[in-house]
Amino acid sequence: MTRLSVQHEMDLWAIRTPEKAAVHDGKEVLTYADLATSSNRVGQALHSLGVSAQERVVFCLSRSVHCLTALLGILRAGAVYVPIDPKSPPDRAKGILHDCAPRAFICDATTRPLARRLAGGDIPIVCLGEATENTGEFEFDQAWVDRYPAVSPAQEVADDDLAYILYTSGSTGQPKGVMIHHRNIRSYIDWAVHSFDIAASDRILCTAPFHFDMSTFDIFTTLRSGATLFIAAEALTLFPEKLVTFMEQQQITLWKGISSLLMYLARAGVLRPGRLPALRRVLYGGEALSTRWLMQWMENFPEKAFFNVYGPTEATGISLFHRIEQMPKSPQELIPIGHPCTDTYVYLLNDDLAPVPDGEIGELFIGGAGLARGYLNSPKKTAQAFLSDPFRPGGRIYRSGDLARQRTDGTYEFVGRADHQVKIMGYRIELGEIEHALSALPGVHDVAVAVVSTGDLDLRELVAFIEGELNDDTTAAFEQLKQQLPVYMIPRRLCNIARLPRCERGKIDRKALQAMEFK
Amino acid sequence: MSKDSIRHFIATELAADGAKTEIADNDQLLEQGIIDSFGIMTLLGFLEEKFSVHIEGDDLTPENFSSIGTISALIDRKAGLSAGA
Repeated sequence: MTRLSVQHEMDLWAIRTPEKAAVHDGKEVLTYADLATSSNRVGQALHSLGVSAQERVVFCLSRSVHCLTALLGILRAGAVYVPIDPKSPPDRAKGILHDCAPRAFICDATTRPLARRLAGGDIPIVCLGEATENTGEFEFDQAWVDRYPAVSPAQEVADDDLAYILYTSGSTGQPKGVMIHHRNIRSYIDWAVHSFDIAASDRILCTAPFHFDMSTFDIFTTLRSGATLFIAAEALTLFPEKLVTFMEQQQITLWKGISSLLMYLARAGVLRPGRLPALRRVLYGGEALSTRWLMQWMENFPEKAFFNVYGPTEATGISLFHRIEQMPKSPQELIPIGHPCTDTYVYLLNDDLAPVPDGEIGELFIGGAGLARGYLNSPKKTAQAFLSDPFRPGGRIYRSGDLARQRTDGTYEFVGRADHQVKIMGYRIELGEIEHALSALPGVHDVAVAVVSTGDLDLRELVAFIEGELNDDTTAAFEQLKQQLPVYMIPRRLCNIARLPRCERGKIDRKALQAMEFK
Repeated sequence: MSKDSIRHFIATELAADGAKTEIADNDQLLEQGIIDSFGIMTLLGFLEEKFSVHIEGDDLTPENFSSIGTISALIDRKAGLSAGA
């Protein structure tokens, strides 16, 4: 049987259930017929701008139904979508544009100033949705898009074609573009739809930003199964009662949320038995969730199914998952990341790429259908992270940088990181990228960034320790950092220090740094 | 004075922007993106510790967190309640 790409599967639903809501953002709704029409027009419009197969198109939009129109329109043109965070600092966004060399930039009225700043004059800008001002030179608005026919561009998509590129933090200061094939998505979504029993009747909540790999689960399981996607505005995620009320009003049946958001809802005390009656499945991931918060969820909602999911962007989505069958016995109990998904396998290896003995800690290597092509324009980084599988000729494995252990029951548990990557609010952060930005500040001789816990909230923050003569007034320093780093990567504190603690061979002693902070 | 310490915390810890030290009582913190999903959790930890109050789900509303003035009023209300109890 010939398998179809995402956009073709969506077209089948547009024929079967044209009037059904495909995507809802709390204000606007697009039916499957609407979405087919709007994305076909964008696809045609992109063609007319000269976008051809496998060229990149950036989209940078506030959270609305137009995100789906843009994303599908790009795929229909046979192109590769590259989402950019609307809150991205200009230098970082420029770096991404420079790396992926897009042929067009899709924005909306809110993100247009950023689009102009980044792409103005060089790359055609397409502004979707309501226009608020006259379009400038080399800019095209919704009325222009709507002049194109709502028929699918005759663009064949091969399994090995790229569908999207997501940028993640890189240790040398330059974000890395992870290239995902259509077949990666297909395998992932096949598995997800089957494993979580996703059907057309589902109402799926999307709280993840579109530049974040968690969003691909929400989008593609919805379109595959003819379900409805509910895009939550960012403001909803700040106010637990508002978010829960939204979920109740929209009768959300499935939510894959970032662990920190589950923690926040539990902590805010908005979880009560009898609430969220339609919700049947809760998946959480992106980072570890303290067991005590999971217990609060399970105590309030014993009838719902909870899954801990794990997976790096480089392996498309979820690589391992674990259904929590029983209430943990104590908050000290560690919840495993479980077993590999279908068509996915893992190894625990030592530094010599030999398997570690049973029960011992090793680095987690992932192989199988989810593996990305590699990093855009970065054969060296690709070669470092994607290795030949030493045990399966012709296969490839991805070095996750995560340490794990296999239990006697066969499940895997996450132990920590092998390198200097950390996760804050689910965002992957390479400390090296932050240190790189800090080292460019005037007066900074050397710098190390550490993650320290704050209070009892399971919250952690970044602190920078600086050797040198950083000006006491850090206003200018923060101003410069803001140009280069997203807010979640900017250290909350810059501490001057006479000498950074070092190990014997001169490497920075990170454990000693953290201990200093606790004093 | 709760306003000043809240202002200082937001300016130095959340705005991640040393230049933005001048936040007025009525500046719209949510609309301007000064408080985001990370910021609100950090802010809650600060408020609960500094003012010995417990902020619950019902208090976590856009109305209460829209500006320094409204956050300060919330804290005064909460602190008044616990003092009167």
